Amino acid sequence: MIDVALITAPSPVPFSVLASRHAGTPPLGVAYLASALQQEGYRVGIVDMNLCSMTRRYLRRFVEIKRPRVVGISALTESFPNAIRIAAMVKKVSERIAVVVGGPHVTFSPQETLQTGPFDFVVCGEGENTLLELVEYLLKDGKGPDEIPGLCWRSGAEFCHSSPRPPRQCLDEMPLPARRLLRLDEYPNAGAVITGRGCPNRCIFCTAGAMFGGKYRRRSPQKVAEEIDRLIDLGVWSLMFLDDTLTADLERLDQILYLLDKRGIALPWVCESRADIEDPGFFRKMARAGCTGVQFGVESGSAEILARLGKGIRLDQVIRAVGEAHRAGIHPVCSLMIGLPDDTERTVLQTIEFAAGLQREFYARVGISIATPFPGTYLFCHTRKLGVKIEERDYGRYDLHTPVMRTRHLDRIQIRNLHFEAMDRLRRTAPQGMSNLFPSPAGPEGAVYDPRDEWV
Amino acid sequence: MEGVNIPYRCAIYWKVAVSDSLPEVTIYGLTGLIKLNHTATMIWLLSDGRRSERQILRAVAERFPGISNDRLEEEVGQFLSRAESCGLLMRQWDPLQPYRVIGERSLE
Repeated sequence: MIDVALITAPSPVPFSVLASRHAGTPPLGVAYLASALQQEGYRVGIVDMNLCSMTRRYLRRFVEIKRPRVVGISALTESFPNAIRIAAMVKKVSERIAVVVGGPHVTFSPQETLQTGPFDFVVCGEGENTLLELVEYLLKDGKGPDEIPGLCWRSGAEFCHSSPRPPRQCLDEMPLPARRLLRLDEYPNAGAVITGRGCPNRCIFCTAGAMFGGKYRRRSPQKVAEEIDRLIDLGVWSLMFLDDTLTADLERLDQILYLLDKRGIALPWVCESRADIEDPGFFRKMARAGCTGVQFGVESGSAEILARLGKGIRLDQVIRAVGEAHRAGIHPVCSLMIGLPDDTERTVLQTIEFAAGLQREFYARVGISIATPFPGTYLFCHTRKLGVKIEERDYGRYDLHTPVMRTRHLDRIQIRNLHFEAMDRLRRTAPQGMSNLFPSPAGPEGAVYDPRDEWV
Repeated sequence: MEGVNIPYRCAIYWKVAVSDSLPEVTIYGLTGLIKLNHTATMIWLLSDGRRSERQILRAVAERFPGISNDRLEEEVGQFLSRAESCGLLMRQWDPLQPYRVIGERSLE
């Protein structure tokens, strides 16, 4: 028997699941929720349905055998349809189990979420305190939902919500994520760490600022070093910093690196960085401290499009930062998007050309995705102003590789075809030594599938 | 062919061109570029995780009314099998376990 089961809804998209097999990280958000509950004495179990070994049958048996009184489901936009399926399955096992859902998607669409039927509560924003207070209410008769900030629920047909919960300011007070409830050995990137939350930027395609507050809240370097020490005890041999803006505070990062060095920790690690890093020369220091890869959100190779994204970076900053990382011996990874609101065929081709240049000059690994209007983003909320039209409402398709909206200048087929051209161009222009990153085509014309032509 | 099979595309890089006023798909698969003819294109476009193989078969039969059902079934099945073996799609897609399950974990 457990009190609370926390379940991560899987992506329903085959490609996303295949990708997570190679680059998946433990669900730290859920592990933070678990540790907050454990600290108060609750018995918690975690089921991460993104793991390859998880099945529908396992999940059902888990709920039947463990008999949790509360089930919390964590979902992104893409996995939201699966969250509904999981919730319905839980309710089928027992109507008495309270089903709670959280995550960025439901935070920005609580009413729509509750209208789907099987959910009893929606936790909006950071969930640790909200879920804990809700579990206290459900299991121990604690204060009622309307006194718990950050909560939405149904009362009959009526949609109810409490006041919003401000993000927690002191992250050092939080217990470390309950990694022992996870099967760390099943994650390719088991050494994931979060050293801070929130983002001061207001990119039109991202919910980070609205979800976690428009400020980068940092954990102290000592606490980060302590957590990494414990990760080593768990058998982790490499680290991945999941912060959106780890290099936003170089002084603090310097302290973290100093403390790791002092403790004799010399693990390889990767992180994300903004291209407008204050001192790109810092990459050399990072490389000496074990940094092997840095991901940059480049977004667009068109200066005019980039200027309209609210990100506040320029192409010259991208070239400088990616170049410095490369020269420091760090593998740069660059993420770009096509199908942004004002993109035309010309600007998309500029993006592809820019990406090919980063690949050619700096051996950057480049990923190009399709701009997607996730609920809560400026892009989702201001479609008319931005001249886009969302044509796909099945959230299971919001996988960053399926065009779900048309823009002023490009329809969905054009966006799909340009996405293909991007892949083809990057493969053809990859420097020697990078060709193993791309599948080899059968020939210049490619293989042709040619079934019996008599009925074709 | 199983009526409950729901095929879903795995490949994410593919394009659609129009040839002879009909769509034609080229896929960037793990084994290389694969160009589909009109019929295979139709099956590919219908393999969107929302239709069963039976429904796809019915749609193809409507498009080619002169062909016997047995023959269509065999041809559509052959294409789906071949596409699956190339890693282009999954034939038995389940949204809650959208990958091939090798071994189920035991709770005991």
